[in-house]
Amino acid sequence: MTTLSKRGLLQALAGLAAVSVAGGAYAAAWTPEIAAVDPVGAAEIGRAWLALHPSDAPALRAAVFPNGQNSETGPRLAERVHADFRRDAVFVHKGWFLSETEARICALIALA
Amino acid sequence: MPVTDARTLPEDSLIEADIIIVGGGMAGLAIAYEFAGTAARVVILESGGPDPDPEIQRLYDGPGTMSGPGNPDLPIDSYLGQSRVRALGGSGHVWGGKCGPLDAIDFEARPAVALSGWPFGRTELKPFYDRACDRLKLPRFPADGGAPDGPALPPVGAPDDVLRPSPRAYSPVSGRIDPAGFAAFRDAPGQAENIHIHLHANATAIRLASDGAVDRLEIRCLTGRRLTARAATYVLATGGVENARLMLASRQDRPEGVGNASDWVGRCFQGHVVVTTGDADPRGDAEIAFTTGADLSLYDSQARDRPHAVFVLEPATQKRLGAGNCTLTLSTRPKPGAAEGSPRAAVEQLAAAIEGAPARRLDYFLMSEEAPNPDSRITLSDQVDALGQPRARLDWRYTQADWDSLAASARAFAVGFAAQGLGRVCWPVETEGLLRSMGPSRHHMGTTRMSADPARGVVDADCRVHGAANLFVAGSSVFPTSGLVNPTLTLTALAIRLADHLKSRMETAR
Repeated sequence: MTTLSKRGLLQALAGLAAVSVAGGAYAAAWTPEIAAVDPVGAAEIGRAWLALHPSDAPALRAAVFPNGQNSETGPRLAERVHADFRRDAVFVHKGWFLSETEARICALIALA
Repeated sequence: MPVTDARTLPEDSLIEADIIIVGGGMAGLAIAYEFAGTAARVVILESGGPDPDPEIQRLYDGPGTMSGPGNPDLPIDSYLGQSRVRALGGSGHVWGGKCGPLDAIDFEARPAVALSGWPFGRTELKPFYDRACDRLKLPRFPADGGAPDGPALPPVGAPDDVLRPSPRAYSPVSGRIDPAGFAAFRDAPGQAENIHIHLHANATAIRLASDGAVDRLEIRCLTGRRLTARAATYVLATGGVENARLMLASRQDRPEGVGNASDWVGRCFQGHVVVTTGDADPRGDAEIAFTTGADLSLYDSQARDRPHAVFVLEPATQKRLGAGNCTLTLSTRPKPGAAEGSPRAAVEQLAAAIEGAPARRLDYFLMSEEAPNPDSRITLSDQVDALGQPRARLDWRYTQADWDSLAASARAFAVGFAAQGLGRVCWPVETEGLLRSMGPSRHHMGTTRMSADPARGVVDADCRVHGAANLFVAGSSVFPTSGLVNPTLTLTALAIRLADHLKSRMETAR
């Protein structure tokens, strides 16, 4: 597992501080099911992702919704998640194996 | 034929037979069953009585340690005494009855698994697996790995090259579940005219003739009585620890012990372990948030009344990972919901949202193949038992390759389930703390390993000890590699195969 450098951690914390002010930049039109995901637990996962990938924050929405949000968002998300797993693009938090897309969704929830 | 209490025989009595089987456990009984009603005079020498006895059980005691990279050594001094039963019927007294054949890949020589490869493949063993199933009152397992006596096991999710179901079934011949039924199974061979069971008869030395063949066995009772046993053919069937212990302790005619010219006796100890964590584990709970509505009752490992399945990584996946075999066994008991504000709650809800189906969390455990390791071994300790025999010492060692294999397999299961949209997997076990996540089984394997090459093993493909023309070994100690299925079905199949071989030898000798 990648070890977060002290510098990286400071960058991540700085990023979090910035978006907490401008949280709207990370708001997303989630499906009702995703909107109902436990925000505290999701935010913990999201913060862990950002701690390891501090430079990811500005591009989170584009990464999760590369084609924008529309009625196909749900199925496309599932496709993207499954594709992540097939190519082993995986993030592990407290033993849970998540796709990178799912980790980014959690990061958006953390930042919103 | 009578069952004799050896303690009642006169001092220095001679027990004679065509075949002497040392040990009346599941392997020894399987051979006796095959000879029941034949012209061969067969003697079983059993250390215990019909039922377990604490004084006799203490003959098994011995020190033990588990070790592995990145983990503090774990003393397991009670393991040798508690993980088997020294009585007629052996560990069948506590056996739960779970059975399945080894996978075809388990017999292969695999680059990722050191010292792997049996002298024959599963095809050779198939007819003996069938007869073993008949003996243990099981439906037969088909050659293709499907469910016994039933339709092919349905894939879970889309068929892919990552994982598949592998069948298991419970034998009713289980001392733990049906003591009366097991007692009948245990006693049946002794009712044949040509089978003579001697109880409380401990083989303490294998004495060799000058040509390396066995000349006689020295027998002692806990009362101090000394006896001798002599036969044309001898079969050691005392279990995966005691077979090696007796061979190593028989130093009267060979300083290295019997069958130990190439120094393999006692080495490559393998024992299946269950790896998991529980609800209370601070690292997290090994669980799967399933998002499939599929019927998972096939995977109910507690279903004793019908065949069931575990998940296994496909051979191609194992080879791609450079890993050994690994199985995932599901518990289908419902679990309480995850606590609010926890990552597990978020994962469960997020997976349900992504997959469009409600999630249900189920526990599981992994079993991961331990590669044969010459340093993982049974030796003789400085302690002696009540018979004056050196006690066994178990030095059970895992290697970094074992840890890597487990981690790669756990990841493959987790990713495989999720890629099919079946759910999300939590595997919170890291290398540090691995040993305390392990639950050792009663399966002891590998200590008299089978190899066609005398320089690389103890017995040949017929289970005959290299260099000893009339000495054979039965039981899981001959397994070169362990696979991940409970060993009783395979050791019974091998015992039946050995019985056929011995009959053939006797015919030839006439």
